[in-house]
Amino acid sequence: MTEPQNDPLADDALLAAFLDTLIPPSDAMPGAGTLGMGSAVRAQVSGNAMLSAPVSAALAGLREAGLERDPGGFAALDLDAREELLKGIMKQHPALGMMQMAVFAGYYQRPETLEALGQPAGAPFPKGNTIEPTDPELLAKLEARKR
Amino acid sequence: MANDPVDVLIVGAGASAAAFAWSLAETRMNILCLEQGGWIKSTDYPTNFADYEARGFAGWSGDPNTRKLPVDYPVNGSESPINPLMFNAVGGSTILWAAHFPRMEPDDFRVHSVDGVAEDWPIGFDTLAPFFDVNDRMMGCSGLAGNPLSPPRNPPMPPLPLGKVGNALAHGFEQLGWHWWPSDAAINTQEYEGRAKCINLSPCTSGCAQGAKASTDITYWPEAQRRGVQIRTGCRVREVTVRPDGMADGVLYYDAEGKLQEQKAEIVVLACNGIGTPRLLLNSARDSHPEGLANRSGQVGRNLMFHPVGVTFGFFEKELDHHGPIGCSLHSHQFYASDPSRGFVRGYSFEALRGLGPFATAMMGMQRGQVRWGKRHHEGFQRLYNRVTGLLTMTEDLPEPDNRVTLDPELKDSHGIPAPKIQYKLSENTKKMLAHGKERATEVLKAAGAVETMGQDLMPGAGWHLMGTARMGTDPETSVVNGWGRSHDVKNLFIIDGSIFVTSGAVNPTATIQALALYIADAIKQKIDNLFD
Repeated sequence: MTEPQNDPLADDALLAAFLDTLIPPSDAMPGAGTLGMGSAVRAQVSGNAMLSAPVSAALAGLREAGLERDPGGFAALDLDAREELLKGIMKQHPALGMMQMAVFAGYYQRPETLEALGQPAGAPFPKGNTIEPTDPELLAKLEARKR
Repeated sequence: MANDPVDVLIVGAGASAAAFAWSLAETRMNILCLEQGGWIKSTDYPTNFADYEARGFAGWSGDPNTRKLPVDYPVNGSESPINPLMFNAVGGSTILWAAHFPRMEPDDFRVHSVDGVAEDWPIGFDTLAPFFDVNDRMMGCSGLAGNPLSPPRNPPMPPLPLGKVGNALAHGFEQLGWHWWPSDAAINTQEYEGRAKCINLSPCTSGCAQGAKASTDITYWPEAQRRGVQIRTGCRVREVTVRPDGMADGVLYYDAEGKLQEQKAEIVVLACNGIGTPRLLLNSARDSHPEGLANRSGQVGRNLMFHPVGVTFGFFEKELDHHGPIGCSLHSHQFYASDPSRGFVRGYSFEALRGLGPFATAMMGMQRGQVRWGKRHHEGFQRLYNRVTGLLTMTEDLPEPDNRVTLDPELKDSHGIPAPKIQYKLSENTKKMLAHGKERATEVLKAAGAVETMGQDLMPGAGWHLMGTARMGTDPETSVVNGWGRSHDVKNLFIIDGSIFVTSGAVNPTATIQALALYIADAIKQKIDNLFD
């Protein structure tokens, strides 16, 4: 089994910090890493032969760059520093940029995210949603135009 | 392997087949429908799950090349700017449709007489009018009677609520003094015929778990089955077989286990949509009809019409919403009829969309560079979320012989049957219409309060409406079926789907497709004693 120190995908702290850099926590909104999306991302990347090696290489680069900045590594840096490092790594490793869509997609389907947006956290069915009725002023205008 | 012969064999179980089978069932003829898909369980629809938005983009996509389900066949769309969409199941594409339910207008049936282009239909609006009404009752239709630009219609249910988005857009139309009207929708606004009312699960186009949207698996088909019609699922038809006298003999099909089966019938009816029907006719070519069955005119597969659609988005500062049936709040026919001063013939409809859900907002924002990763992520998202809506420009597509469906020489489905290939180009007339629509849509959105707009000239992924590829006509030299859907060449072969449209109008075609299917069923009943003369 690959040790976390060797396999960056297995490094929970690194993965969470990476995800919290893509979508950071802010006011009412949770961060993608804080939400615990790391395991889902790990499963997605590991199961994709095309993605696995380049993403691992990119995360390894991110870890290395983080350790050069701070003995605590990438996770110990503040958001501005993490963003700066990630931008640089993304230029060298486009695969990491491709992760953006998967992370956004996963984040905006998480119950915690939906709840923070004021939406029902679960499936729409069977509760459904309420929408604003037609403006009575508009209906009155239509009534006057009926053939 | 041979099965017991039937009186009537229908291929395909979508919008037209269901209406046709239900109507013809009163004759007590032995009717069988073969469908390559299966029955969809309402518990499988995406809105049963929290990640419903993403599910709608993948396994429930309208694009068979994206879904790639075992029941789908591939479509080579590499030579078309519009991807053809469809769904293969009992209910067909009504499983995923938006249920926008307008009727074609009277002048849409006489385009040549009115504007000197294309051809007139061999039938008119008045011929279909009673069947439109039957169809509204069977499918369930919500709407507001009295639309001043359309013939009288009395939907059995009141219209869907406009919601914040529809109200805002309606005020925009009002400010400009342009026509608008609540959309007619095949969606229940109250309990109807045992089906529940809409609870705004949204977005409809990945199926309705509530059963409020009228897909034919829950409207016509149960009624048709009660009348004795049989449906056999998992059956992919390879070809229509022909007797030595040139009459249709039945079909060869692969059953759910992949075994080749033969099904004989007195009457064969094709209802496979504007791509599937010409594909089947072309795949039925034999020495006696080398260019395909029912194709002496050479028109099978030609004159493909899509309704090219453009979309203009408006970005608002005030908060809107995103729930409610996506395609059905309001429409406008302000620019529907020809006006020579506009520089193009015929016209287009506007159809209002609802807003975008969180997932769709993030995806759109990312593509536009408005929702980026990093510390400004949430700020970018909040600027879009519940603040975007779109107006569709749905143009009338005129028939052109070079826009066509052929058989791909290499691509095949999972049974080795040649797949369809689409060759389609946008006409200059359509391009002008789309450009005009984008400008006018921008005016509406700004009048409604949009602070910014963005127009997309053509939506590649909006090829829902498949029409014209086996058109009706009185002349066997220039058309495939006669004025009541019977093949000119093969007198016990009928076509009842959108293939038989002569022109397309500029409205969603399903109500007209179903009215045509009911009319053809009625014609068969009326002419039953000399049907093949």
